[in-house]
Amino acid sequence: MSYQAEISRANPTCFLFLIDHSSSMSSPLMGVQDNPRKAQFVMDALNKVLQNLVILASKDVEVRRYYQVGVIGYGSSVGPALGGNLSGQELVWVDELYANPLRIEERLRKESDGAGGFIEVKTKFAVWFDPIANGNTPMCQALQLAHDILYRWVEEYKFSYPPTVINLTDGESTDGDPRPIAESLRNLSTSDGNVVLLTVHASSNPLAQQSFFPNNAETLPDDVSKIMYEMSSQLTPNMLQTASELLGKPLDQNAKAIVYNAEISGIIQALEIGTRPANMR
Amino acid sequence: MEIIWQSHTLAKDGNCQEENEDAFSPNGNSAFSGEEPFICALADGATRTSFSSLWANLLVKSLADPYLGLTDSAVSTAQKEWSQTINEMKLPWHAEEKVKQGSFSTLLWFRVTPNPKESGEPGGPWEATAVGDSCLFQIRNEELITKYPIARSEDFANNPILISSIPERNQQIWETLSDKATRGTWSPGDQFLLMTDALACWFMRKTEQGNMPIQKLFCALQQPEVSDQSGFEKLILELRDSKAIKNDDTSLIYITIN
Repeated sequence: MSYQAEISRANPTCFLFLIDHSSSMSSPLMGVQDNPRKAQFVMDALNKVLQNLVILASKDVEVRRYYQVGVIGYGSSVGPALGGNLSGQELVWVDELYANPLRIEERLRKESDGAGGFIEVKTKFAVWFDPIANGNTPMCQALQLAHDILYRWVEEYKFSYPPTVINLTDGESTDGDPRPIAESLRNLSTSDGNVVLLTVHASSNPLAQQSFFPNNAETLPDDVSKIMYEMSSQLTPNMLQTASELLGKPLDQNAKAIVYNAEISGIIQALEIGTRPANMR
Repeated sequence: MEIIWQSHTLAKDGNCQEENEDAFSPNGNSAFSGEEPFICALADGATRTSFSSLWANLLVKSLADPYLGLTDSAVSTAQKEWSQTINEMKLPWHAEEKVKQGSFSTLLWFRVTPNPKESGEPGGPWEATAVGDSCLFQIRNEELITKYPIARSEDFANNPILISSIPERNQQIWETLSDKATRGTWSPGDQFLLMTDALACWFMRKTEQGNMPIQKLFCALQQPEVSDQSGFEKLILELRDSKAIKNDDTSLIYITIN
């Protein structure tokens, strides 16, 4: 059976994020003026996801090398998007990620005071990215780069839990049909299964209906969404389980790893479903 | 009442012994003779949470009094000590955030008591309480007569209920714990085995298949240490190699009572 391998320091896994940096990401989420700009929101969500990945790998006082993490930005250029000391690196170990944020901010978070109210507590928030929104949407190039990086990765870690690729975008590819290269990417595999490609599409329209892990393309609104549906993997058993825990209801076994026209909570949930590792030891 | 015990542990492959998150009491090989109750405790710290080894060790330590059981108050002592130890550490931010989730562990408490001398009856009562999937087995004349708290190998799950170092997270445990406690009687010559889940699951599955894992286990425990490797370690490594047990910290306390 696939997607059963234990994630350990001897057999680590990999998370690769593809982030749309195109100009349209500067418009507000769901097209609602008071909402954050998509680029700002995606960066905040991504920083939070990376922080969660660091905390998941945290054991006592160290960060264990359970996975490698990479971020590819695509817009006016296509390439590794981690900044600071990690600049130019396609993949870094999670402990290197921990040690090299751009900065650590202190933010206030609401927590239960145990008596029915809330208190604000200070919490550390690591920042690895600042928002960018510039250029077109060269999704094919980004997928090709992901393919090249992971082609080498699966050669090196033949028995590992396969890599997860999360493509965060708000629009259609401007450099051709992304389906063939997405298929090549999904066809890369370790002995434990194929690379998983999850698509998170941020909504630009307040009236658009969110489609959350659909099991057929019929419910999707247009050609762009159907192309993204075809690009995406089927949800893994672990993702199905995490999704049903978060949503409080089971998903269809054939659900595809795509959230289309995602709202704020949809983006956050999809990222959590994509990055909660199975079998971590 | 005379008790002879031996206890063993082996960290999962890929981890060093310092990373082993199982904790137990008593340690080593020895014997006890007397009319006092005798206590064993076994805890299996959760891999996913931080400082689980510290937590498992504090839980075992909190159950040392032979006249107290696995109670809210014993666990509360361990929780205070855990909290104090963590607060005294200077933690990096990832650890500071992680530790807010608390540490988690299984816990198995076991006590044997002799019948009063004046009764003239050999043997006596035993009691056990378990949270999670660390298991107790009672063997009489090479036959498995008690399995606790899990009755079938298929009932071992990946997410057992665990005791938390954060008091608010244990509410559900205390509400049902007394219903889950068990008791029985022992006769001279009985053997008791306390095991963490990987070994317990194998032991139960083999028994269900009609094999005699008891003999295999006893045979391994009687082997002399060769090149710093005990018979227990050799057996566990063999079972891991053949995928008969999962790769996990593995511990055993083996008691013979007379």
